[in-house]
Amino acid sequence: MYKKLKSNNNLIYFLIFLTCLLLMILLAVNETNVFAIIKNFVFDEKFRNNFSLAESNVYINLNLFQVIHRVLSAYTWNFDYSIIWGTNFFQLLIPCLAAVAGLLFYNDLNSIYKFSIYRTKNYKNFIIKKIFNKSIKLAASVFFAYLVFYIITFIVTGGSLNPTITRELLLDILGKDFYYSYTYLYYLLDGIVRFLIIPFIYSFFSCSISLILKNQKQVLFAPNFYYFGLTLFAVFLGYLVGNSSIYFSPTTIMISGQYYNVNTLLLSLINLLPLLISFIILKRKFNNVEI
Amino acid sequence: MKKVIKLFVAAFLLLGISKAYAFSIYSGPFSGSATSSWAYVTNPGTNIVKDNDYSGVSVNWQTSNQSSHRMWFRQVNSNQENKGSALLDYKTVKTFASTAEQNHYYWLQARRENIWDPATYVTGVWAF
Repeated sequence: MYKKLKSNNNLIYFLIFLTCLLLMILLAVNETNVFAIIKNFVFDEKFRNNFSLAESNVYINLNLFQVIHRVLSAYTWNFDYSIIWGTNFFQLLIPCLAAVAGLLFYNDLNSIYKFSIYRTKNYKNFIIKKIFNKSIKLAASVFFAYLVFYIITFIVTGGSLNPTITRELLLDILGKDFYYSYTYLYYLLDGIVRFLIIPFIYSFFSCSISLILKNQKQVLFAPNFYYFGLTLFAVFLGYLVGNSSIYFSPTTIMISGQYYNVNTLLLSLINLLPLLISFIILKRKFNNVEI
Repeated sequence: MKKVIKLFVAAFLLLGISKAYAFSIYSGPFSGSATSSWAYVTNPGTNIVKDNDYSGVSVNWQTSNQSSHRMWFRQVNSNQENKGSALLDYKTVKTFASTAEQNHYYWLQARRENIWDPATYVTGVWAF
């Protein structure tokens, strides 16, 4: 299986797409609490015996499938709520996904494939093109998973919205009313930023940094170290400078709805830093290479 | 004519008060520490005795150890089923759709979106 995956990079992107989609769906469904209820119903006798007492429309002597049906059908499905909580966990997953792109690029660069470099006259363009291809493929896999999740959520919820929910990203540019006037379009734009641009940037960073790293472990570790290291730094900075520390955290762009009056451009700066580092690495690398 | 108007206004006010009362059958404080997973902020076992069915929960989020962010609140029943939820601004009152029944138990839970932020201690009043 591993050999098959290694020989077919596109299969890996398809698996990433499937994993992301499945994760989004499971996390959205998890908001009904159905998984915790299943666990308690199966393993906790007291919970099982008391299940019917919660409300008058919960019938007695229920089996597990009736319980699942009851929980899923009684839940009020909202499009915006499901999108937010279905994708919330990706604030942790982005650097892990980016590391996969870096690893694929590193393996290509250190396999027989590297001899194709000698067929090209322009080493710089060759490497940049390969990094771009790997990054865009990974970003597209994640974004298509979001798109399919978006469509499934829209169908399941019938597009119903929770009136208490608001978001912040892009609204300083598009106007505060944009969210309420074009909510579905907003989540599409929000998805382009969070699931296309951000994964692309971190994948590009991961691939570029793999040029100077010595082994696979370092390639897997590097984007995570950068992303989570900077996030922890921002958390500690928060104790010193207060709310403005959110602009030092790369995760904020993934969960901007939690904060007030977010500045999209300032928020983008910290996520453009990996691109800057990538270009510096590439520039130094090209200056030292002679074919 | 003036008497008719006065009577009309009085009747209107009475109707408003009774409707407000019908909405807030239960009212109680909440306090607790919320993290990135749903946490109970009302004491488990709070007995909500209600006179009739309703369709809304009002949450008044009054204090927090972190004023810089919004907080999610939701109502659950004794089966832990999610009955309704809302995203609240600090020091605001919001009402969100939910369903509850007479003589059954309900709790309030809170949660943050950012997994990395420190725990947020919140207090306030909720009613339904």
